[in-house]
Amino acid sequence: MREIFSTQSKSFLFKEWKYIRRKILPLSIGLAIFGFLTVILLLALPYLADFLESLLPEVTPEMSIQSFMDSTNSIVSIIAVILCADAIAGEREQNTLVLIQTKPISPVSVILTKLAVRYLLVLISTIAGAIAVFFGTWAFIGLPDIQSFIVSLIVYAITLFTYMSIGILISTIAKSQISAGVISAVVILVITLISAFLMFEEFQPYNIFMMSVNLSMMEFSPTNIAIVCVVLFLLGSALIAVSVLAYYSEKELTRKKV
Amino acid sequence: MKKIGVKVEALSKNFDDVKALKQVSIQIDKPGLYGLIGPNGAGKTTLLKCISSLLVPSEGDIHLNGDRVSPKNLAIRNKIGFLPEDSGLYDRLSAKEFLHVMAGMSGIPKDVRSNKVRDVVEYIGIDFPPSKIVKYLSTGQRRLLLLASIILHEPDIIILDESLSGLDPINRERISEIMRRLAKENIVIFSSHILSDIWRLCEKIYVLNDGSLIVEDNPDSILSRMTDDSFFVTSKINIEEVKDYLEKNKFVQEVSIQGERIIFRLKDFSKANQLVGEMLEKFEIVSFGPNIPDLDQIFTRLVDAS
Ligand SMILES: Nc1ncnc2c1ncn2[C@@H]1O[C@H](COP(=O)(O)OP(=O)(O)OP(=O)(O)O)[C@@H](O)[C@H]1O
Ligand SMILES: [Mg+2]
Repeated sequence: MREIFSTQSKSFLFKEWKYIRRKILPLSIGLAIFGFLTVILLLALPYLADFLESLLPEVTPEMSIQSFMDSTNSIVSIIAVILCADAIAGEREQNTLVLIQTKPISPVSVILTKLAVRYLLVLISTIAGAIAVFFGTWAFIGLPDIQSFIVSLIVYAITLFTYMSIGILISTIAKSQISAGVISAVVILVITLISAFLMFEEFQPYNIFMMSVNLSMMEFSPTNIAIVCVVLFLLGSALIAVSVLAYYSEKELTRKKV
Repeated sequence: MKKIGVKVEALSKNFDDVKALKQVSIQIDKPGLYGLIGPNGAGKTTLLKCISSLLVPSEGDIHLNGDRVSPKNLAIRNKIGFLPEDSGLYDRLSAKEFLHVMAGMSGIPKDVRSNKVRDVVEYIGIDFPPSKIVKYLSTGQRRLLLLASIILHEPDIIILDESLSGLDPINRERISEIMRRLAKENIVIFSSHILSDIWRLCEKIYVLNDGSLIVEDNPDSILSRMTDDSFFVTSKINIEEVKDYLEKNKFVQEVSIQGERIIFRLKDFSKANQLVGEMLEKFEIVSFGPNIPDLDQIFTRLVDAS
């Protein structure tokens, strides 16, 4: 644990922060607009086609929140893993990995720092989007349930950690940023699509990657939510551990790259 | 004096079926400049990376100052300053920030970092503004910056992979001078495939070819081994005539033409002056002297001999 807060890690963090920080503002504004648009789109849907008007139920604040969580779970997650693509593969491509590998900084801190700055970036932007949705919904539809919205966001934050660990792992073993980005995006797409199609009511409590979305429409017991969160967290941690091992074995330089 | 040393024992490194290093052993136990030379693909980078714990050897052991090198041994990395052959830099940082980051990553505490950076900038003689963004530095400036960044933590063993390639004569001289200064107290090992780079600088030269260490010696004895007691003479116009003349002379043997030069041996050294005198009178002699092979020839011969 001490090595995570060592002088080495702090300097490495500084460097990572320098690279990431200029993405924060554009991404936050982007996601805020995106959040606002989900509300507008939901309201505009009945007017797009006359026959929809009779088919669609009345728009509720919960629907608005759910549609935001749903699109976040796929779109923001894909953005997040693409942001992870450069983590190790980028250093490898730019030939800067050797600068890290010759310094007494542990693989664990390298991987965790890489993840942490990117996670923070996506988290801040997602919160910006969530705030936009909250006020948009409140202004045009009605006051949503704050408590359940916050719980959904917390569950999403943990889901995001798991997704981003996948991104980091792929970046560690991939040859280039591009291949890391493409592979990660496809993996996340497949995961979210499969999860979304598993619609049987009785399966939802175990549908870990959809929990953040389902929360805004369904009731789950607190234990159930906690178990899903723990599973997600353990899964993410395991992926991080594998990434550290993969990064460590980079030294062998005999492994074929994806 | 600090107890320093590099000991490489029977080191082999295979990449799948490529044998990049075969049973290489090197022992260095005092400060100085040590040159590693060999043709492209000889295994120089591989050897230097193994010493710097960037590659794990397939067989054999490496000890630095008595400690065994292994990727698990993070502390040993601070004994080494490794200048990679084709490394990138953190392009978005300024030169100063880059040095601070590298200092921090070596574990230099924040309160002394600024002083360290200032000292090293002075030592290396970095003359561009430290606020300049790394991306916009020239190749020579980048090399100087990288060199500064690898000695911030005052390593005992400095390993420079192709530190002189791709530079103009002024920067080569500058970096050579820094290397000489560093070599007063540290072990500096550097690689090149240009013998003349290494020649003027080194205490000892290691020649690597096809993964094997074929020669390890100091420049003078390599030179004397390569030199026989032959002479050369060059003439402006009548090279064939000079050759005829020499062949007829009874003190001369083994006359041959190599390019512009006529090479020959003397049966009796005391006749050298007399011979030169006669030749100067008869022919337009441009130069005359002992036939020392040039560095490229030495290099080629060393490699061919193995
Ligand atoms: N990561 C690797 N994977 C596979 N083969 C490698 C790897 N690194 C080096 N080799 C092979 O090992 C041999 C030695 O390479 P090395 O880079 O050590 O040569 P070098 O002496 O530094 O050459 P140069 O003067 O061109 O830099 C070469 O045949 C090279 O192809
Ligand atoms: Mg090389």
